[in-house]
Amino acid sequence: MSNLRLINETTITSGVSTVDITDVFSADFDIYKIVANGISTVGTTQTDPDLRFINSSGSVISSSDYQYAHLIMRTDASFTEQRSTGDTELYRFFGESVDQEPEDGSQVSYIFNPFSSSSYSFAMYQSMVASAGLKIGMKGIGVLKQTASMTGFQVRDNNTTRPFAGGSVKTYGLRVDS
Amino acid sequence: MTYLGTQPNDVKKNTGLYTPSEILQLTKDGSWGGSLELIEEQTASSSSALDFTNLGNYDVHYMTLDNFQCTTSTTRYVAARVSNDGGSSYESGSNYQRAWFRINTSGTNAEIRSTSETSMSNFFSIDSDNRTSQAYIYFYNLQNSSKYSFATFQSFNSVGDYTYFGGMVYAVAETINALRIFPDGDGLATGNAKLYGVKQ
Repeated sequence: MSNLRLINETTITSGVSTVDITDVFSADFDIYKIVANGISTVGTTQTDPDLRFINSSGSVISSSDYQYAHLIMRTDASFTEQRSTGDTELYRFFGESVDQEPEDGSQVSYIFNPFSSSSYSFAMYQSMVASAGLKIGMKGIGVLKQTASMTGFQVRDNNTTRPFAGGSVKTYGLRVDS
Repeated sequence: MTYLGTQPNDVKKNTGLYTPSEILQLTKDGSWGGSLELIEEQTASSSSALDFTNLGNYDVHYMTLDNFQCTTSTTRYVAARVSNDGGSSYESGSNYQRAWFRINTSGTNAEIRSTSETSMSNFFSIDSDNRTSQAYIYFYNLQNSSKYSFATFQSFNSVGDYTYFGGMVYAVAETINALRIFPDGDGLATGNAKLYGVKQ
């Protein structure tokens, strides 16, 4: 028996700019793992796939309470740091610009304490994408500086008009011994 | 296995611990199983390479490399190549790209990047002293004929005490059905590699 428990698997349908994955965070686990694979766009206009949390009322959190810091690693050019202390999402959480297949993006991330009402929701993420002929890796950290209980998250096309074509998002809970 | 907690799709509330009777019942119901499925484990012993010719059927694979040492004192890089013919041959053209960051315990950090590599190079260095190198790697889309094959990884390189993290690409959209882990010379005196499928 694995200590990694599959909670949800969502397949992104073509033509959507947001994908809500709800009712995945609960009191049963403190730490969650997300494996997102093959996120691509309709057409060759790229977009940045972001993450927003969803609270227990089902509301998508879009206030400027997100902070992040990540390193963007291109195969063809100098690496760059990117950070923010007041963003409305975890920018590029699922990768730095995804594109039309075969240029898509994949990542693995961890979410800490999203359901807790006494702790911020923290994240660590690492991704690799191919986009517009470029190959770009990324590793970063993020936080939602709210103590409200989060029960899900949204995968979001940052441009809102460059919809996703496909991809899968699997959410796991890490076993808790009590 | 589907999740068994308190959410709408749950079969049974839990905190990750089960009694024997619950396990038996969940097994009977077909709801018992892990989310990381071990496909194959290989141990090096003066080996030139570790080949994985059975990848199962997964869209994401996870690999651990542990306790790697070289057969000689010469520093060698440990890398990966992919195969599209079941392991009869491994792709060695310049279709690989890399971008990873190297953090040194003493000295200068470095950006490592290239758009023309002949392997996913490299996860760490090895030699034959008493320290070993290790890594974990995620491979994506290996078995998808319409997508490039990606890897993300983090490692500890004992030759110089570095940590590496970053990504690699095999930028050809084709079905990959075997993986090779190999040093760029000499052999692997020791090394344990485990390949898992991330359950769908």
